Amino acid sequence: MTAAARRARRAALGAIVVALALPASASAHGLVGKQDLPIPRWLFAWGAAVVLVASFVGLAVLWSQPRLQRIVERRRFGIPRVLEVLAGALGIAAFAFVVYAGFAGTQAATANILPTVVYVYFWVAIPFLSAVFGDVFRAFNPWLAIGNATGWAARRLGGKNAPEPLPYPARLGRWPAVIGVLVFAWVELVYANKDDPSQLSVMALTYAAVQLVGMSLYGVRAWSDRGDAFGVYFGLFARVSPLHWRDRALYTRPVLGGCPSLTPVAGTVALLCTMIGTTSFDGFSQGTIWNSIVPHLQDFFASLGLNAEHALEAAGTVGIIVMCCLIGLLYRLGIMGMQTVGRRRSAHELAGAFAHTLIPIALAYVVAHYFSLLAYQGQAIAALASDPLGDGSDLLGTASTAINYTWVSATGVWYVQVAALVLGHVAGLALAHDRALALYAKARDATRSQYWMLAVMVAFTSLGLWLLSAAAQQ
Amino acid sequence: MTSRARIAIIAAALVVLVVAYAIASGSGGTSDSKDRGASAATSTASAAGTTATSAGSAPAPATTTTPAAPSLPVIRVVDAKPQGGVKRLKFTKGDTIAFEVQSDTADEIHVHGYDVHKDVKAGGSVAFSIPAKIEGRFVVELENHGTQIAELEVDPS
Repeated sequence: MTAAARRARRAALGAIVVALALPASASAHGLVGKQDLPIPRWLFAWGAAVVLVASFVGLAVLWSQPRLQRIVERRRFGIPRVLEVLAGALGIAAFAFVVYAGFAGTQAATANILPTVVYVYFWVAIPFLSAVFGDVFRAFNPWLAIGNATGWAARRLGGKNAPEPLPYPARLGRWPAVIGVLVFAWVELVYANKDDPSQLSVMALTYAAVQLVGMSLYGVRAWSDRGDAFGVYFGLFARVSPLHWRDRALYTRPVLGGCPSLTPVAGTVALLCTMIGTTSFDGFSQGTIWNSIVPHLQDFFASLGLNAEHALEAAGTVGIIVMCCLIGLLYRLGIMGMQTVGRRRSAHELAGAFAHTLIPIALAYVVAHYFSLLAYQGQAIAALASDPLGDGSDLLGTASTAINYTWVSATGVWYVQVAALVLGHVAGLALAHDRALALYAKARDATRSQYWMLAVMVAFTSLGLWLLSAAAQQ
Repeated sequence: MTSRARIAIIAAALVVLVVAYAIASGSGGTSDSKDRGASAATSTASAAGTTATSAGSAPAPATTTTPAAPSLPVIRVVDAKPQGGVKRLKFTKGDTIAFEVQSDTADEIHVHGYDVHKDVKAGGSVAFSIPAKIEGRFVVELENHGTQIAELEVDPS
């Protein structure tokens, strides 16, 4: 055997040894003290039954005229400008503080406030809050606040001489958000140094810098509506909420009322499929199928010359991309089926018209997969707020508060997960029903088109249940 | 469709689902679940030509949760890695979690969730005995090396 072949074989064997030593079920990040038990088979079967029954009942019983396509928003009260400025300042201060903590504090992940803020409060709590209270992130968005402040100052100082921003390219659409969500999910699920506080700080600053550049090129409003990955991501969830904050006032609308108004610009479908796909990969990567595939992928990449850590990262990258493509393919299949109904519409037009129906499903996935992370690691804020740098200080007197792992039982977590997926399914179904009524002139065509969308949603919801169940994880 | 028909369909569906739940949780949810298939409950929705739905729950026979093996589970750590891969430890809430770690490397063993730390000397062994109060899956790892040596699972009683 040649020397090169010998080296390759040793690398492969080394990878196998490392792979065997790696956790059978890898947790998404080192912040997890307690992982969920998989949903027992009987509850998974019952949940699937609920989904099917609810779907058929929904088809039979839902309203016959579109109700959500043109909604009435009631203005409740105005918000003084002072509050806007204060919220923005608070956001900037919080951002600066946690980034500083990432650099200056201990580099142990659970003792430094930054990883918990990023993975629990930022990535998980804000979607939960947005779905209920509307787009709260927009008020506290630090880079948006800086952009607005800079714009205001430039107008005061430069007046009419300030250059016009470039028009935001239509073909760019929401693609920056797709990339942002994909990269964040990659860092959260695949990157070996996902919990490293100083690296997270660097990434946060880089992201903020990119946002500032984008805002200066295309204008603050245009960029933040399309190019700010996190603003767009949280804004999608906020469309579910009955509270709508705009034009410096609070408006109320029906629940889900914000979803049909989603304009399907370039990248919108890809964004929703990426959201569902990355959360799916989070669940999938903890299951037995993935853990039996990973050693083979690792061997392959190790044979290309990557070391053990990079081979694992490469395997995870493949997994996350394949998952997103699979979700996109499922959606696409449903759309292609829908094309057979009524007059011939382009797949592109149909995919865009129904993209918003995936928002409740994406929300359901986030709730189902991350509820317990919020319920348990979310309590860590009590200890971390007192000792953000992990240096032994006790600013608020709560530095030794331990996380209570028993306030929600394992059974309680299961019910939250199943309920989230079922509710998300029903909401998506209602949105698809409403849009079909508006899109198809004949009621019979509207009903037939819904069978396809229903099939897609049953597939997504069943996938969501399956990923959490004992079927996938034992 | 009249609103009465709508309400009737929804009510019928709810009844079906509640019955299905009672059957499913009864046959699959008890802690000492026996190997038997669940019966399928069928029902038809009322009037107006609606499709018949069948709510079936037929879970695969659940495996019996064996209590902790009569002999104490031992995790052998060789060169800071668990011999034979990451070991699975299964207990039921209310039991006592008992296992032993034998290591040829000195390190601190951390049981997440329960937050129990114990040191082990090079070539030595250490035993754990923890009341199983929290359900879930927990990582047991060598703290300094950062490698997981076992996965502890505590099932609901």
